[in-house]
Amino acid sequence: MLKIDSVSKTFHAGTVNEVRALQDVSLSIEDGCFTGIIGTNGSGKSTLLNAVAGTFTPDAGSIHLAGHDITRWPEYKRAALIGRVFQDPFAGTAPDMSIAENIAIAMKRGQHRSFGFAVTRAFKDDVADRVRTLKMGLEDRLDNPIGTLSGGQRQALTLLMAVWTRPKLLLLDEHTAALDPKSAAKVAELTKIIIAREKLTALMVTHSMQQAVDLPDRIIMMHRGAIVEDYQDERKQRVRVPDLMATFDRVQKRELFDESVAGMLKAQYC
Amino acid sequence: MKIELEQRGRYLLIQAKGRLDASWADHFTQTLLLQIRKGRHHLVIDASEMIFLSSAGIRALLMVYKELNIVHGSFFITNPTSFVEQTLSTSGFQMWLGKGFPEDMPAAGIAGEKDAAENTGIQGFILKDDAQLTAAEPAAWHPWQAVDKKRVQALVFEKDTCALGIGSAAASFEDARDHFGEFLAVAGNVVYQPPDEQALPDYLIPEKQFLPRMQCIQAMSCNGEMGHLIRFAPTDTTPFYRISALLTNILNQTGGKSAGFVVLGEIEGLVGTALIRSPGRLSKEREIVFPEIRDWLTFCGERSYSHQQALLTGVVSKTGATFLSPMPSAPHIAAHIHAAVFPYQPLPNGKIELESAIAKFFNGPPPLAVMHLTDDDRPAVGLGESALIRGACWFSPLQNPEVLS
Ligand SMILES: Nc1ncnc2c1ncn2[C@@H]1O[C@H](COP(=O)(O)OP(=O)(O)OP(=O)(O)O)[C@@H](O)[C@H]1O
Ligand SMILES: [Mg+2]
Repeated sequence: MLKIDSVSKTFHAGTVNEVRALQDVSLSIEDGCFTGIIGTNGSGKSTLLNAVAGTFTPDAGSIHLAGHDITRWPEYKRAALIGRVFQDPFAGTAPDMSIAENIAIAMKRGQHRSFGFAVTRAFKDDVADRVRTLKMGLEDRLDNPIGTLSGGQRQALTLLMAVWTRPKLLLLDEHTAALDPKSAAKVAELTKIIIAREKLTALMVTHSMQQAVDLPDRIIMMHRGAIVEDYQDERKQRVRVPDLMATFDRVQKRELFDESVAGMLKAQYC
Repeated sequence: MKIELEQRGRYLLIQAKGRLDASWADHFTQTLLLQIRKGRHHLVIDASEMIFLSSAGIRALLMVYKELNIVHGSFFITNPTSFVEQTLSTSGFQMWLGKGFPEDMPAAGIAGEKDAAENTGIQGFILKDDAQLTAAEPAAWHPWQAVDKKRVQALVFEKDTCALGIGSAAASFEDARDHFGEFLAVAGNVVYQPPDEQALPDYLIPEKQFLPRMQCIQAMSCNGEMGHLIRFAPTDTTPFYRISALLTNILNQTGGKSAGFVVLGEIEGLVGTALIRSPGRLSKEREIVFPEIRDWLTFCGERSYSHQQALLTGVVSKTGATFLSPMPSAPHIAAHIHAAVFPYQPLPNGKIELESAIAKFFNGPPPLAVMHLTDDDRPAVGLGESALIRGACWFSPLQNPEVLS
């Protein structure tokens, strides 16, 4: 279970560039729950994921994961519990090394910082078995440089690597946004299959409302560093893209509702 | 495809030259629907230069035909090329085909007299000279009073009643409690906005023995006949009608101090607010101020629902009352108006009947919103008041305005 409790983060505090990226955000995610996060640009989605991953320490609040208080843990220590996939399919891999070698490196990450790795026969068989589940034919190309793969293929592999050790939490930050529509659909489908198969707890940021409706079990909507909507259970089952649009619209309207509107309504709402 | 329009008396002559196929069908439909919206309800399509007609083209014609049926208009295709004639008659649309032009259609270049029913500007009809409405105020919750069972009135809405207020479509107080929102009732139909996060208005239609009923915490109603009808449509100098202008007109026509009214009209822009949290949960009266007020009310934020159709009902008076607020745009009048928004459907021209006109909307595509209209007079950023482009307004003076507290 992930428990985020009253987490706040302000960038450039006290300057003209001050950004209150997270404002007292609380969120609990049950084990095995796949949660989508949507929200306007700059609403704090990535910052929330970064707070959980340990990219920075929050100004206030606490974060618990799988029974540990990880609030003060450094990022590398959290990596043992957390798998992560970013938007850029070329991030975090060494393009000249083979697929198998890249996977081997990824496996070492977060365990201990020894850099020795060897691609053994048994390891390769294990890799081949797992890669086969992607149904992309990549199991026959494990010795090819990873740089020769398409963005969609790489992102599928990155996803596979991120869940290799069955992390306590999987973080996906717009991991299909940089792909062409067909590859994006394929990676989205794999995401759903893998998360269900491994019964993973996951947080996925997406800009696609359709994806938010189709993939996760729960949808969080963020706006200006705060959670403004939370669709769970039957509300999540009912929600459709136009409903999410309407919710965005409502959030926007709320923004325009300032003190002067309140004054006008005081005289006219009776 | 080239489309040329010419007004000839009550007819709009349409020269449709070229191919009416998939790539032109939408343009053709939109052009003609706009004319119907403007009140041109008798169309003659000259197809002497229409060289091709596909199924997409027939569909376009069908959409125009259906729209004209709604407004009791007429439509026929004259002088078709043999291809068009064959296509239409073999696909079962020979009833659209005609020869020559109607006898009462003026010759080319002569605009002639328009259909008397096709109005521009304001056109008034007296339906019943001495009709009056009986006002009542059966429930009088005031923001932000506590709500308990005693405040709630179960009201049944008869065909000759228009009403507005805050209520809930529920069987009991316990159920109603979480769902009090703005409603309006016209000719026995109710449309109501639950303060629910999905924000879809709900509606109740009288059918057989069923009469819509609501649990109300606030309600004003007007019972009786509508004695007057005005039809309004844009002119070169009046592209739309502000609510205060319509209300002033109502008071002038009735010569009275107060009136109840119903308006159906194409929206230029609506400005209003609605509950998003049920007052049913207020157990203690208190003042709700900014910023908390934003958890209770939503405000449109922009002039909204342009070109959809509004159904308004309300009460207007020259003397204020608790539930009538003075309009900043016309400080001599006070009003309380609720609006329901429906997807656009055209209205027939001329003298139309309230009950059947309303029924079309309630039996058509579902309502989009319900709101309490406001006149946003904030300096610089104010959105102004709601306005309508064209429509119909029924009204009668109130015989007992003194009952309004
Ligand atoms: N490291 C940083 N330093 C300064 N400001 C930052 C930093 N990270 C994020 N911000 C600011 O915090 C706010 C929230 O950013 P964040 O990246 O979390 O938004 P987002 O919801 O992920 O947006 P997008 O949809 O554009 O990815 C933005 O105003 C951003 O500029
Ligand atoms: Mg982001």
